[in-house]
Amino acid sequence: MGIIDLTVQYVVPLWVGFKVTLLISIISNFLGFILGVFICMMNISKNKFIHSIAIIYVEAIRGTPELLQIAMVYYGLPLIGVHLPPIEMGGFTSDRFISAFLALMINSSAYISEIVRSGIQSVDKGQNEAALSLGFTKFQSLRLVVFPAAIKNIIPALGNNFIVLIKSSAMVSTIGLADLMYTANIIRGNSFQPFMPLLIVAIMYLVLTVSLSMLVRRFEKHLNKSN
Amino acid sequence: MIRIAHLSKQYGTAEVLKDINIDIDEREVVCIIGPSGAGKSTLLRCINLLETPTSGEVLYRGTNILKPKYDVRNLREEVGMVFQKFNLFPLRTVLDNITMGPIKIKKIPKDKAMEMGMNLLEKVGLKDKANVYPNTLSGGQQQRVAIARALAMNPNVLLFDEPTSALDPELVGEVLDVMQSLAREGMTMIIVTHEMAFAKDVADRVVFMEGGYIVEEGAPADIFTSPKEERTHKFLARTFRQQNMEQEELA
Repeated sequence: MGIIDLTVQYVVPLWVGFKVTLLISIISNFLGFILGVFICMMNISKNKFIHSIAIIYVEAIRGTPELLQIAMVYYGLPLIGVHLPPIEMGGFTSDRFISAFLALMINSSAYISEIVRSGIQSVDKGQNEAALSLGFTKFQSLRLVVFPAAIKNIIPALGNNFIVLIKSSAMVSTIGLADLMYTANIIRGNSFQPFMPLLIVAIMYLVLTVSLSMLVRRFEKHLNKSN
Repeated sequence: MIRIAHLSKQYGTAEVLKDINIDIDEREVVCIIGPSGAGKSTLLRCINLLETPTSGEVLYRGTNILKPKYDVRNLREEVGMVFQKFNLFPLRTVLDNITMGPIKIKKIPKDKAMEMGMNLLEKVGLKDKANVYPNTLSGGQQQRVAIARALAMNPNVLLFDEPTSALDPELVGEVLDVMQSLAREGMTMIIVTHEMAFAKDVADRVVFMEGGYIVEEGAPADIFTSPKEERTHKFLARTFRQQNMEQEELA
């Protein structure tokens, strides 16, 4: 059976897997960004205790395999009495969605917090001083002046991180969530074709990542109009 | 209006300001001159607390601004600052740069703030640049926008930290013109500068600093023509020679 026939035959599960991968990536990245900014604020805090917590968090997350983190969230939460409810997403219901979001969010937040920190440090000190000299509070200066400038500087790095997240989201297939990777393995078993399904989802992953990197590049150009 | 008494500032073991005493009156224009590393900028930055003095007092209208509970934001709303490198906000248009403070801090309605911003831009001769981004402007234009931004908060005092030092020589004049007209309007100004001719023309008082001390202060006529201190004399002779040479080169 050729690649076209195989795709047509399994178009429904492939489409569901595609949507699941896309949704998991977008939601985890979004949540990871919010958590990452929060961790970054803790990291640049003058309070030594808060700063240390952020450092330990980042080191622990970056220093352990993501595959392990996914398994730990999925198998660990029920042990401490947290039972996550099933939710429906992309035409598919699973009690593993929330575990996947949590694990990917936690993982990407550690990397994003470091990206945001480098962005904030790349903003000229004079920007903050100018804002303070006008009478802004430190927080206003950060929110209105320093942070927007930092984000502009780190758009490429954030986009890159998002692409990494899309690819590493394939690891949630190990806890039985029917994303693209999981679907590929199901089709391989079903059709007795060990290779073709892999090629099909490889192309589908590429569609996601390449269109995303084009989007990032356009956004960068848009932001550069102030230069 | 501003009284500085026994002010000192240390970075680790380096003492950059030593027992500084100076009073600045309302509507006075004070130019601070001196070689680099003299502590001029640090002194200026101690007035709006971008630097925290190690010891001493800074009184603004009778209140010691170094008291632990003092709300530094009130001070900064009333004491504007213009920086050597302009420090305009690059992601915001010229007009946004100017109206941001009034809108966010003083809670002035947007349309009113914009009207005020346009008036200020007219004052500094840049009304046609309201909607462009700062990076498209020349250094002199950027610095004039920075002055308008500081003025938008309606300050009682303006601090200038070497406002023309980052500019190409041919752009210095336009910035000094704006500053001169502010001085004429009675704005209280403290200016750290290397522009001796400007200090001579505009200042009510000139302060010469070296090595963290105020060496000498007085009326510009006295300081520039008959300085009492040998160090002042040497510095002025050196600086005037240099600036004459630059002018000849320009000519």
